[in-house]
Amino acid sequence: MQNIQARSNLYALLSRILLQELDDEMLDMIRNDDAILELMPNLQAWEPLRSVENRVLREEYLNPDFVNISLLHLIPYETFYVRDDQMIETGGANPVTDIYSAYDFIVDYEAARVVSTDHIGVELEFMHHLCEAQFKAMMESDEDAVSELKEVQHRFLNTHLLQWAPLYLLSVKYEARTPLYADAADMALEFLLSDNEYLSASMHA
Amino acid sequence: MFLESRRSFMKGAAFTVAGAAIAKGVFSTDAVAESVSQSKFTNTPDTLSFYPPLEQWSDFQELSGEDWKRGGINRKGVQSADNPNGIEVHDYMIVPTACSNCEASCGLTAWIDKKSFTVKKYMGNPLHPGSRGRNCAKGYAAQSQMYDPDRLAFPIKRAPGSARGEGKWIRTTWDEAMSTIGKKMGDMLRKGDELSRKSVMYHVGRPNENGFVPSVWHSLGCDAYNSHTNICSANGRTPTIQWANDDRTSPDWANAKLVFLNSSHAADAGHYFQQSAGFIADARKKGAKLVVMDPRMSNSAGMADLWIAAWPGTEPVIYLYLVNRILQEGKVNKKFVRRWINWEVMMRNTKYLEFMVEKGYISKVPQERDFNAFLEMLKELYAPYTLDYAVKETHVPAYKLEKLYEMFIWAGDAISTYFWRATAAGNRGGWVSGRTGYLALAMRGAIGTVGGTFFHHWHVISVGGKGGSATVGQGKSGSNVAPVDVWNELTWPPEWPLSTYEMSYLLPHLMSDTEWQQKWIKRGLNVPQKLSVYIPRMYNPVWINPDGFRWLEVLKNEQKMELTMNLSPVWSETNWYVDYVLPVGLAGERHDQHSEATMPARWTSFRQPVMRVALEKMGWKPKNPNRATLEAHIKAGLGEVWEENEFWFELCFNYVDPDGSLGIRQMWESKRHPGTPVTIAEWYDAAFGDNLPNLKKTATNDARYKNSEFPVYEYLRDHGVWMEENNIYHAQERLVKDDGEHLISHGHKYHKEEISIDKETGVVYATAHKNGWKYKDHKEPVAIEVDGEIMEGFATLDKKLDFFVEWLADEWKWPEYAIPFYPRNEAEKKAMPQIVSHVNHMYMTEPNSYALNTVFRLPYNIHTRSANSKHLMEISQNHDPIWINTVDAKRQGFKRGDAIRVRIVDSVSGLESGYFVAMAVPTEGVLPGTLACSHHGGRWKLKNAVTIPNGVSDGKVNVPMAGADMNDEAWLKSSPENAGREGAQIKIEDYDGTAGMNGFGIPTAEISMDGKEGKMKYVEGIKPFKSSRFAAYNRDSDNIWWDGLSGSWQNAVAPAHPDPISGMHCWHQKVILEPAQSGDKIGDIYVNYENNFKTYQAWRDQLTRGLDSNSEFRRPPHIKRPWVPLSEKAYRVTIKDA
Amino acid sequence: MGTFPETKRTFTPLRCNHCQNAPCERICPVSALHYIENGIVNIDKERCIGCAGCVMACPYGAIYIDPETNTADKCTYCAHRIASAMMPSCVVACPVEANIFGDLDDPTSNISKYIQSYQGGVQVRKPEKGTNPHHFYVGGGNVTLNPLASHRAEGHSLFNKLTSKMPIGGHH
Repeated sequence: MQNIQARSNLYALLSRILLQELDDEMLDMIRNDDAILELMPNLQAWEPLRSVENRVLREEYLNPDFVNISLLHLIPYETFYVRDDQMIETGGANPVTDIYSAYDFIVDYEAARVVSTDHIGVELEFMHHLCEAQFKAMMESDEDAVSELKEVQHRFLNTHLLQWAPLYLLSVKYEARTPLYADAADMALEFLLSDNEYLSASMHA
Repeated sequence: MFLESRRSFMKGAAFTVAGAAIAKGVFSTDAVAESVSQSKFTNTPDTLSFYPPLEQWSDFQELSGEDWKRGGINRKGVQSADNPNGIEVHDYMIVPTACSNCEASCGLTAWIDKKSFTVKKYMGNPLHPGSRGRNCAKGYAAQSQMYDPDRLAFPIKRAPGSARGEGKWIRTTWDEAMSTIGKKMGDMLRKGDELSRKSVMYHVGRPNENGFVPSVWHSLGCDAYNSHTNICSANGRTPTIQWANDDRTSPDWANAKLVFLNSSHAADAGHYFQQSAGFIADARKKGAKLVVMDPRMSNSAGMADLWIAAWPGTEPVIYLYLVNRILQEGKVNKKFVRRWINWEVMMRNTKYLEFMVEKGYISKVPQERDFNAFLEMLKELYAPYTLDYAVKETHVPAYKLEKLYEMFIWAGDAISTYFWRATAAGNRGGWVSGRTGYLALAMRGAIGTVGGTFFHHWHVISVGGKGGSATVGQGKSGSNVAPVDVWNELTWPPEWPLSTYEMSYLLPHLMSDTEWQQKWIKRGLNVPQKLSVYIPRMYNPVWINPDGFRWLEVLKNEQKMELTMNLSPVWSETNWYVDYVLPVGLAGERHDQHSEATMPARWTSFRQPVMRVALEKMGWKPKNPNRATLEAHIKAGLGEVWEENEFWFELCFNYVDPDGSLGIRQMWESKRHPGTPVTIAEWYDAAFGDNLPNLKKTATNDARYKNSEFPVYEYLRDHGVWMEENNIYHAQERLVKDDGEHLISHGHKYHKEEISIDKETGVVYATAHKNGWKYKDHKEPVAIEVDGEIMEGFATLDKKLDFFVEWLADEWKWPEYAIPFYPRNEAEKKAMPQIVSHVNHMYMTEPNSYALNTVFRLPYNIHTRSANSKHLMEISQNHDPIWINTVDAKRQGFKRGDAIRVRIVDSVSGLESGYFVAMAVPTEGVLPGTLACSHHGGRWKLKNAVTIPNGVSDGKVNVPMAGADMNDEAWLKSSPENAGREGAQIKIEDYDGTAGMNGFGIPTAEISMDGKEGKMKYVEGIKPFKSSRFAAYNRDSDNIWWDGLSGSWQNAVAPAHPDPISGMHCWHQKVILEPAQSGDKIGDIYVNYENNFKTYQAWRDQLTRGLDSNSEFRRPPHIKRPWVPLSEKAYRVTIKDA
Repeated sequence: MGTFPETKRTFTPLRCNHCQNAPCERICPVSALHYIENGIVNIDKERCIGCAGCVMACPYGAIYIDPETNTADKCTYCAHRIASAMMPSCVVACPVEANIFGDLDDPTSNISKYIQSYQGGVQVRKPEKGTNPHHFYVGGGNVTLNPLASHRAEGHSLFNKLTSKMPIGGHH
């Protein structure tokens, strides 16, 4: 039980951080949550987190860094990495969109502010929702649903996220100027690989 | 490796805020996809149906085709509360009815969208065995007729003080119209004398029902019924009457080997078009061959295996050529001919055999009188019809005729044909083609067989007038209604006693011909000299009949026609000149029982006002059960549009005979609810239930209906069609039943003691108790003994097929034509003008003279009823040029689109009628020396719009209109009070007092007439306009791209040509072509109708052999007067010497 | 066609061929013309910008601009009826069953069997264009399938002169 909750929360956190700039609410939450900070040691040790007020922290430190790692220098979209022509598939032929549709999910572009559904933040949030669904299934003792969901998660990780995210995240780790994004990338990298191992093991068990 | 760090990741479980609140939340459920998966709609269905099953007809959902084009359900999903931007779903109630746009009565279904109470489309009725769920363009166009922005919204009458044709109209009510008309009729009938019952006339164009309105006139005791038959099909019926005493041909197209279209292009004409086309296609799939005989290449001819373009009127020679070879080459189906041709009657009539020798038909009277002698005699009789003669007379190349003979023989006894219009409608003596054609079929035994040809009355159901048991006075199926006692000389004049139907097109001529009237009055006949009430219905005589200006003269004359009314939903050339125009609707707006012989079965359609039926099925009840259709149409936003059945019920009950003193009121009084008129459900439950036993059994045993008050009516209401009997072949061989005491033939019982059999002919006679006066010695022929068996036989006096028409030879003065015959040389042609076409090539003496063929219809056109349909106008534009062979066009220097003058001259009177200016179109599709220009062209109107001064101000009552939701209880229950009554007139939605007149289909013209000459010129073509009524449906009226100016009103120039024997108006014209003169425009006409009057008189006086002082009867008594049962008194006549 | 007395006339319905390799779908800049999973080339009039590229791209003249909406329109094989499990309207209407419709991927369907039974006599229009039409003709020929193939004494329009210049439909 703890396991699934942990996984769900982690996906949610990573998704949020990598999808859009932090707002005050989110910033406060992270600052005050030891469990999160324990997972992001560099951020925890970072002086400005405590000393600089939120507005300045965001506008002068965090947001520029975010723009750098998600817009200016690096491209957080799967199709950029996996297509021969290195184009982002913004239209109807994106296989990731099809997967979402298969589970009756569509991306609200207004809320996400992305040009394509295969943004890393969106894909991570998708994993989060799958975990939530698995949690619900476990609460209802629906064994079949649980194993099906695990299978979907595993498949999504392997056919999509893991095909490109490590590459992107490594680049982020080295490009990031603030420990928020460096640590987030590091954590994401480790977590994705570890989660994949976990799912593989649990499926073959 | 990462599993170690797993433990650290477990810290994720301890986040203070749950993941759900952390995540941005960029996903939403796909409402679009969900809306699709929760619906029944899918782009990959398992099967595709042609129609939904009957159980779903009250509640069927289908996606909107127009809305679909926003990307379909993949992009937008299905519209629902959660998904408002989805593709719209129509929630349909499907109500069956029957088309009324030609005579075929194909089934239709109205798809009524419940959310807006509108008919979104008409499709076919899959339950209909003849039309099989399919229709032609005219059927689908019923919707555009229903929502025609120019249709009449309420009853109107001529403004007091204005003249007929002036075009001043005021709004009135149904009550006012019925009381004025009813009182006039009642006053007339109360006079009680003979003339009073001949002074009211009902003149129908397209009846599309089997017996209802005739039963009305029958109950009124009037000889009032008039029809358009003699400008249409009379010459086609005459041979069927002579051979079989029936009315029409009934072919089995679907099983034929040879489909021989020689008088009705069944794959493009109204008899029976779509149904026949489907059956013919089925036959061709199985290897049948299609032959079309016509001087013009129709669509059917264009796809035929053999097209024979014979000179108009010469087709009999082709049939007799076939007969000749069949006889000479030993191909006669002896068994059939011996059993079913009346050779016994002929061979014992020595007097006639001698006559034949005198005429040179045969060389001597045969010594033996047996069957072989008969065949030998025929061989000699038909020997002159050689291939050479056929080629010479018909202008058809020899190889085509030989090919036809081969096909004829190859097909055995599975030859289907239909004798109707084409050559019959166009030519003097056109009936001879049917007369000789049936002989060719009979010689091969192709009558009554599978794939063969048979007769109509075995394949049709006529019960529309037989609901009498629902009334107080009529008795079951009208048995208590006395036959009519008078004979109307205006419709059945003495010069044409054998006229197939009424001499309808001569009405204005006979009414104007005072000399003629006086002549017969002096000789003892009570000839009406005026009409007190004249009622044309679904008929436009001014435009479609020959000599239209003569119609205008009489219609305008208030002394000759005192009160005129037209039952019609739209404007027409005729309506403009009457006193009352009362809107009753077309296909989906009326009740009719309508059956036609389109296959060897007995089926009937049930035409219904679909909006009324939809409302009733959802639980609505009318305020006045006798005006339910009127109330329903008001609710549907159509206006004060009623239907005929309810109109006649109420007119007869409340207005013609309000106190019952004429005995008419009780004829139409409801038995269930005395004191009120009979209702639709009461009438039809009786009409169908009393006369169709299989239907009654089915309906009353069906769980859905057995506990209803009107099970039979409700069965038909839901199905729209019924087939009582199928696979009807060789019906003449039905064995007569013997129950010990009686013989039972054709449903009637005859006491065996009163039976006698003629040993020579085999005819079985019974003493006639009713109508004995019709038969010699009061002995009625009831059956026939053939090869030792007693069978029902045909309806002729000798119960067989009459090769020899004895009554024609003896009492009725045409012995030379009593057998199938055609003149064999030029001398005989001159001596026998009655059976030679008036446009035969022998009359084409002037250079540039031609035979003009006018009688064809365009497949998407209805004579009068297509001009108000935007769909039909768009696909046809009423385009009606004159088709001329390229060789003739070249010789005269005519090019496509040129205006040319067509002068009409008559070969009997020698007078010139005038001319019309037409558009020339050279083609390879017409016989050289002939022309083709359909007489369905030249529609006109004098004004583009009509303003009715009190049209809005009299409309007092607001009724929630269409656009209303049928599921809204309050709206559903509401109904207009006092519909049709004074003070309760409805406010018409989107109507400001002015409306157009057939804006989609009729151009504007000006006419002039002075009693002698008439002229017409088009002023303006059809143009785009803005619709106000039904604006959303007609928003494309601003996109009209046709002007409709390619035809001319040639009918006005045409003189009447009454065939001396059948009474048919022979449509073809002898014409002379000239280039147009300067100032001529296509559509101009000029007519000298004084000359036309002399032409009709010439045909009458030079060619007929009418009644004289020796005549005992007005007409052969055994030939029914169509629709109106007459008494002996009416049939008998005494004519004084001249 | 032909010369009197051996003259003939035929009618052939020509409509969108729902090509497997549709140039109209390819050229549409906004995917207003798009495929549905059952092979139909569908219309989205809300996306259409009225550029008429598809009108030009179609080798069969099957697309026209609807004068009321100024967007491209064409036969959709009654996709809305297919989705409602009903046959296209033209198939239901035809009195002589000239139009046959169904699932080409199902060898037992009516249309598959029909094509099989007429092997050798089945054609498509303009195969050289590489569009791979899904619309087949049995008993056709150059005269029936190519509107420009024959000389017509009556002119190319059987009917009256046209008075409007508005776009009125796909005739070449």
